[in-house]
Amino acid sequence: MHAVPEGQLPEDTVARIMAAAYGEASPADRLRVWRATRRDPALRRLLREHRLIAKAVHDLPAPRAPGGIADRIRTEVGGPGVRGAHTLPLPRRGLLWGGTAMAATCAILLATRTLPPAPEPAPEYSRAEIEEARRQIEAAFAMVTRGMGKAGTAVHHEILAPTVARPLRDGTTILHDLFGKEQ
Amino acid sequence: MTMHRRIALIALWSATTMTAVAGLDRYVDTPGYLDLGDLRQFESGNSVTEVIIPNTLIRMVAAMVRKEEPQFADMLRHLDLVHVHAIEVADDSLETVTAHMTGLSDRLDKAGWDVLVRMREGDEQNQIYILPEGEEGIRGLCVLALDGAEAVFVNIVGKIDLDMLSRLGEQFDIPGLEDAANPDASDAQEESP
Repeated sequence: MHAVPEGQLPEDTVARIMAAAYGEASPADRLRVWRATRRDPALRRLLREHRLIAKAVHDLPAPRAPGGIADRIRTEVGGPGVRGAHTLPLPRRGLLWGGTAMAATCAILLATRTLPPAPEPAPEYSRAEIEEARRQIEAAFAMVTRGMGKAGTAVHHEILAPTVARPLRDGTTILHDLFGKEQ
Repeated sequence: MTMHRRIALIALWSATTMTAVAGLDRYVDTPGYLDLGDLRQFESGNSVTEVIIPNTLIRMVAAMVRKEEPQFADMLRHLDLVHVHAIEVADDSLETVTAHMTGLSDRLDKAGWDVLVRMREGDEQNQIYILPEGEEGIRGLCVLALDGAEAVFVNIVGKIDLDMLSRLGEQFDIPGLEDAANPDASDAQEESP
């Protein structure tokens, strides 16, 4: 999957698109994004990419509690109570489920007719791989900073010391000698 | 075909194959990308670390950290590739590694990259190059560092905010990439007195 060069797009547009993809945009922003993506295929592609990423991150398996704990919680919360949760009589429940299924089918049909075809799926990475990548990126950044830091030390030792400190010291000595003699 | 030409062709073929095998071939035309060449020829030492983080994985990382570290996430969003190759340099290959590094510097100079840092102190050398974009933008960054026993090549491709990178780099005060690639070693090091 080739990424859209976000660097060429205005910052606020990209931020708005990301917020929309992650479901955090305000209704007004959603409308703006919708209008913008209708006009510009590049923005549409960007929105699609971020939606894919958001979905992939969202779908990562959540850390699971050890079996023992989960069982205990279930027992303490009260297993039997769960069984009695469905209180609707059977025929009404059937009607309700039927209506929901019909609505879902209509929504899917509408979506498949109106939405653009789904882009190619994002490559799958496990949470551990993403965490590892994060550590490696941080290490790479640290290397750059360390390189700059070393240069700073070298500038201080190799340039500042001979070119600034020594003449300054010599100048001070001359001044001291001069004023010392005048006194 | 002369012997020299044959060797040159084999070298070209192996360099192309290496790039393709590593999955870096799709970045060849991306501004800011540097083909580090065949660094495996120098891998005679014990410690070798190669890290290739493509844009898809970088964006997953950005998505994962966007809540807790928004600045870091924002910076990552604009990156296309992070490629690091660190090798332990044996004494007998120090000269060839230095020559390879000089060759890379020459290529960067000719390709219009700016030198941000060029430091040489005995066996130690450290060069940081940036590829400028527009007035203040940076499209790529390269670190070529050699401290006698270890050579490190870093190529970060994408829109880079150097101030931000510097601040974040200080924040990530971590021992080194070799430990990041091998968390067990890092733990062992931390535990030792």
